[in-house]
Amino acid sequence: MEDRSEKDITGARFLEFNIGNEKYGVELLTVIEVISIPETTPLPNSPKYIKGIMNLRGQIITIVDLRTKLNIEPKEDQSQCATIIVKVNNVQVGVIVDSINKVVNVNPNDLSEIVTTTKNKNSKFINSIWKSPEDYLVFLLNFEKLLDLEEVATAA
Amino acid sequence: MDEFELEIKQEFISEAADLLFQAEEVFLTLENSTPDEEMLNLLFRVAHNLKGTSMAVGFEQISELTHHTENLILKIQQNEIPLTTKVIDVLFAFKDKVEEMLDGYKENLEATFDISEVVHNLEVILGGDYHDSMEASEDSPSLENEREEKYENEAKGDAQPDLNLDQNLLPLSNSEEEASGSKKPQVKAPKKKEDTDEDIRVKLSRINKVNDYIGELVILQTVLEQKRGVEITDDLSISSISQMSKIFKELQSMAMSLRMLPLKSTFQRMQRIVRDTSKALNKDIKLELRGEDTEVDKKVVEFILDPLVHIVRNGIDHGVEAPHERTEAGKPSQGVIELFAFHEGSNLIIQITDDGKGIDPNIIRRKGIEKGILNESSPISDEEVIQLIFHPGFSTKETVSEVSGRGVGMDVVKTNIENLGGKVSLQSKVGTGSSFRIELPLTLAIVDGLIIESGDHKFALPLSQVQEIVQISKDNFASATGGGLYYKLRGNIIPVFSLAEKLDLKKDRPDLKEATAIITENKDGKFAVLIENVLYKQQVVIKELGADIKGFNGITGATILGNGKPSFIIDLKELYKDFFKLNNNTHFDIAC
Repeated sequence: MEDRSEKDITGARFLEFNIGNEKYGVELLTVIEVISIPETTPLPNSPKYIKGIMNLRGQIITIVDLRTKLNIEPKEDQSQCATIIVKVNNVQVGVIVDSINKVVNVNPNDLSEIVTTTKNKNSKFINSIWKSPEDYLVFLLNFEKLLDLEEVATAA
Repeated sequence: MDEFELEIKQEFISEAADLLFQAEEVFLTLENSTPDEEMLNLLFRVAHNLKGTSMAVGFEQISELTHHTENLILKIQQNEIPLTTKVIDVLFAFKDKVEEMLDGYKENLEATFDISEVVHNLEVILGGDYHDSMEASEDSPSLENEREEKYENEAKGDAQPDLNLDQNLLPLSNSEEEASGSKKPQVKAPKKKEDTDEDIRVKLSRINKVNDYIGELVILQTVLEQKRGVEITDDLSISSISQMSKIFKELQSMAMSLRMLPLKSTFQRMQRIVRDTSKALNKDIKLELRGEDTEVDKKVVEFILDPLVHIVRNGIDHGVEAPHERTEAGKPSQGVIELFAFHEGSNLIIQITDDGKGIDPNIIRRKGIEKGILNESSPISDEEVIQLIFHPGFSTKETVSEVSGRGVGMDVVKTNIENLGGKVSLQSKVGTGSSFRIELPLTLAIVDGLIIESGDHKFALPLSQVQEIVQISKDNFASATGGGLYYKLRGNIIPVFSLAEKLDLKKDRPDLKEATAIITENKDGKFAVLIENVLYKQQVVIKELGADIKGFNGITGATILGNGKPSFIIDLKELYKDFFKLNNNTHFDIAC
């Protein structure tokens, strides 16, 4: 699974979503479903980006606020936000994003590597940048790194 | 065939099918890639396991066949035989044969089979002829010819010794059939056994999912139930809702029971332990089992094995005397250890009783004082004194024997059982024996919980951890010089902690006048935890947290409250386990 997100994204399909003015993408295969903003119970002593846990049809799922995680200013009114439920490292996690765009087909020729700079703290979470036929850019995120379990555990 | 034999045979059949499945997977990989060591090790284990268990339940033919295969795998492991197509073919043939045999046994447990062909092929390869027929075609007959030749050999009775054994078992007519190449299982008596309940193997995660969904349904059901007669008034809806309630209850208990297993297999394993251990110690001990059909949650079954092994070994080593001592004491030379399981309320009780020499409270008392665990003047009864064997660092036997006492003692048994929300205690009488009593919740999926409020959040506490709930009065507080609060509980001074503070929910401490405190205890002693309100008692279904937040201190899981909202289950012992670190001159306060 890990390999796939690292290199082999030939012709893969991604779910495109918005945070602020930027567009991001997550590999469609990892997406389980999209729901609206859930009611959450906060987890004591946890890093800020963990919004809490929710009850998804009897299953307890951790909800992560992607804005906070990517150091983007929090949105005041989250009521219109969407939550993408993904399965990463065999754990289901909910990720709050501003809104969902569409499913896109990514041609590997339109991908470029991200240049890691010290200025960009988030570059390690980005697999590559995709230039869409409409000429806008989409950051394809590496959810495995983004939702790194060990990082969460040590942050506690 | 008695019932037990029947059962283990049927169990073996389903187990063997799993092993074969594993084996086939490896075979398939071997065919397409170079073997790695781990894969061959796995294969060897599978074969070894199959051989052992089939022998143990009395399917000698499978065992014999597997024996040859095991030899072959061993040779492959040692690089003595390369993995040629021929070798892999014979491995597949072995798998097919065993599968065929298992199918046959399903019809008739007494069936016998013709395993000569596969055995022969295995032996040919083990004898060094492992070249692929393509390579070998110049100097040896083609595969077809080879096969025919073999059949001829068999028909002539010109075969290996163990093969003859099989033929002796078969009626004469069968060897003719054999010669004609028929491969169907040779069922001697086609008597079909009556329909028994069949087993299927289901992944635990699936059962848990079913439980999850049912839990959700039950919550929705409660909502309807509350509206019944209030907002819902028509007769049909009202009767439907109450019908539904009944079915849900049934469904819920049924779903719960899917996770339940009898203790039988665990108890059976003790037989072996008693046999081996008593032999090693030159003792003569019989193990008696009672209530092995008692069912408990799968997790409890898995968990209980270690503590049981420990206690049983301990009983053999320290409890039951050597035969000559027993005769001198006027007891039968054979000692008896009894395992007895039964349900009591919503608990599982397991009693482990031996008729050995018992534990002398005076020795324990002396030891306790020596080790500084007990105060010389402590006025405690003999019965309380013997519970000291569960105290960390307490071992009465000076020498560490090989059988029990590996540095860890009864305190580990106690901690493990308590971690599951259980209890363990000991009763003993000098000269007559000792009896351990383990009390465990029937299921780990549901616990009695206390729903509390702290810092505007609701939490569930396992009720087993709550010793008492006190409405505290301000007068009984004392601040210590170095910081920290203490509370005077009936003359004892115990530390006080605030849950909201610890969980970083609210900065300010709850108003001491209104606060409620939960009195609980960990291995270091009693302490009080301040909360805002005790809300209600509820049976909570424990949901495991995802691995992502599992490691969080003191939070052992989550549950879904009646309103459908998730809530965390807090383990107070765990949450405050570090609080006593600074003050480590602990004394054992047995007066609890």
